[in-house]
Amino acid sequence: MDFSLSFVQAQLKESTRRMLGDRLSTQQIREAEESADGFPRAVWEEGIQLGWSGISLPEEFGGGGCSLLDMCVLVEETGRGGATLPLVVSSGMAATILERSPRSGHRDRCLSEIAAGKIVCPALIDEQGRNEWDEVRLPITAEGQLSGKKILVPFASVADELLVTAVTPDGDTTIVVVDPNSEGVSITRHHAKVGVPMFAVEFNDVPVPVEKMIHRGEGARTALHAGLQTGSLLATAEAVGLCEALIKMSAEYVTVREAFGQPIGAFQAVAHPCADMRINTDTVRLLLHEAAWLVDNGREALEEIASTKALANEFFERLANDAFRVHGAIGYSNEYDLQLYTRRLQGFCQTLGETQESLERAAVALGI
Amino acid sequence: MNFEYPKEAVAFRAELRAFLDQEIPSWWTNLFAHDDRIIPFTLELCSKLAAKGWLTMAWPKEHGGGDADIWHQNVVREEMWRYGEPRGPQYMNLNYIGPAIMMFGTDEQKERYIKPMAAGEVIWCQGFSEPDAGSDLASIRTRAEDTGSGFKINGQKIWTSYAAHAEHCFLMARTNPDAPKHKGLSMFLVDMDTPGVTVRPIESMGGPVELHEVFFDDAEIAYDALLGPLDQGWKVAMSALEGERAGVGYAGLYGSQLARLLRFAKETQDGTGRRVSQRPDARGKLVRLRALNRALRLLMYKVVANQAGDGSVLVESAIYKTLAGDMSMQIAHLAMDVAGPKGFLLEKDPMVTLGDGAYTWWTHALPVQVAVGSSEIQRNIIAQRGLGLPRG
Repeated sequence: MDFSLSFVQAQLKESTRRMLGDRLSTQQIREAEESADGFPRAVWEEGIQLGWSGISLPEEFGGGGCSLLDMCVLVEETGRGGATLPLVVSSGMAATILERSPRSGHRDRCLSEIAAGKIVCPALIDEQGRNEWDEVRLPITAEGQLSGKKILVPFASVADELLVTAVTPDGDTTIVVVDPNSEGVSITRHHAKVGVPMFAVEFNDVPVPVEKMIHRGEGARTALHAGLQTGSLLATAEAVGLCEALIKMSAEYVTVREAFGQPIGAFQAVAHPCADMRINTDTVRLLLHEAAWLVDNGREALEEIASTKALANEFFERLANDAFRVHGAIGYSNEYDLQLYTRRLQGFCQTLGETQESLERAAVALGI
Repeated sequence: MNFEYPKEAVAFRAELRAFLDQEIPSWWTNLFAHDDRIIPFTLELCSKLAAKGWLTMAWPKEHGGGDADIWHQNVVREEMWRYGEPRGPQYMNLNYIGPAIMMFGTDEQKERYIKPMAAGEVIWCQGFSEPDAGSDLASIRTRAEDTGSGFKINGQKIWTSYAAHAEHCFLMARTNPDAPKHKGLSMFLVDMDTPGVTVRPIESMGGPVELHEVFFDDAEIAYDALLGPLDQGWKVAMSALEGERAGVGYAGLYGSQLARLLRFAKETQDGTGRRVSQRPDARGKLVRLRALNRALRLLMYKVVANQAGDGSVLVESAIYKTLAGDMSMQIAHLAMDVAGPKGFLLEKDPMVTLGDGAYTWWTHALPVQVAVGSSEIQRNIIAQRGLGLPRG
């Protein structure tokens, strides 16, 4: 039983924090969000050089061969730095789905590309669906034609490939790779402000060649779920980082801001929610790391992963709110930096599993 | 990072469970029940544990310990709390009173007091809180006056657990009323049969045997009862309290409660014929609390690991204790909800639920939020010492 960071993890943490401290000011976060790409591409490019995009991909694909737990440490730092990057969706989820899929030319090539910094976006949520865990509805014909719409696809406009879930006429889940520049694919940006650029992707009779059908059937569902589980853990790690940023901002603010003759942090009504931020963030981090460790060691962790997400949602929704409340009105203004983090943190709570649904998934895993 | 519990300690856990399954009588529920058999049984069990070298495993050999590693000692802590703490009041000796004497005591004090603790033969009580001083511990008024031949104690302590059974008291008193309040306090090791010491039980929701008032009327003690330097008792006490907070194996207790609650939810049907475990609210709360208990256990392991590294565990133990206090109520409230009005029935009633009754879970959960430093004080510690927030 050992809670210390490994050498690799300590390095990742320190170098990432330093890089983002130098390269990504809050002004740059704002500019990136408003930009056409919707994310800080320069930081992403530099991150690729540092090995971020392939960090936990197998070495045979040019990855770093690091563990999921190592990647959680990295992503906590990018979260803390307010960096919205395709790490979780591409290097995390898409890579996991592909790794669990049968070996093939396209599949292997995709993995190498992800390691090299290409962006592969999972397109999961159907127009008539609700969230990423929902049953797949987008139809793919027997001849391999996609027609329909996926929504709320993060980073689609900068994707090199889309990893799309669809269902065959006989009800098999399929996972296919689609070039976003192909004929019949149209991408429209959603109006949303949770920090991540999101897009609706419409497929108009888009043909999918057989070799781009990465997986099919029960195995595809398993691969998809593995991707969702990995994604949920990495998203949680990123959110832990956002929490640390909010705790830091809140502690600094309430130490300096005065009212009724003293710093407001001396009032328990302000100090105690701050204490809860620390308790709740540390609680989730421990559960997250244990769950990632279980996955890395080949152990079943379905109940752990789902209940960690549920607790993270519950605690972090409240943390975002308490960070706002201890700031008062200034936390509402756009000019002040708090909103950069609170919007992203609230967005986490409904990404890859809301609270009640995650609890139900944990209950099913428990067998009750 | 490694979340694997050390293999030898895992094997020891199985051995300890087998021993406890054999030794613990069928009438036993936990330390806080109403039963005259409890204290004598705990003394007997502690002697047996001491004979097996399991009572003070991680203490240094010279003090009757086994120099065992912290993970074995932690197994004992967890398992004992899982079984409702059959070591009885002596768990306090192990958690913090013994360690305080080992850290701050003279050789003579260690010789006199540590051996009986290691043998599992002696009950101590803690003399800290007073009617006018609980959370604001530094403002205590019990006075220890230097008489020229020793100290004379006058004052009153309250909420003193097990005082009627204790041989000794780990007492905090004021030795210098002119110094700033934190700097005029001293710790003493007082024999409870000293003339002038009177114990009166306090009836409480938790039962008649637990809490007491202890009165000191011109109780005279020798100089060698002083533990640590004169007027520096605050430091001794704070070090002791850190150990006390971290030392209670709440996760073991709650794990046992949650396992029983899960079974109960599966067996109990509500008015619609549905099993309670099939209701979304109950299902959600059960898995949520299971997750929180995993976190609580990991927090305890983290404190244990830091303690071994001699790091301060002030903030971590405050986080641990606060979470435990919140959880104790959440578990109790869920138990009451799952049981419904049948949950009101007490242990003696043949239709009692969950072994000792959901209502009893509730009465035992309440004090976790206020004892050994209330959740409010813990949050102050986390805010001020953990986050650097200013004091008022």
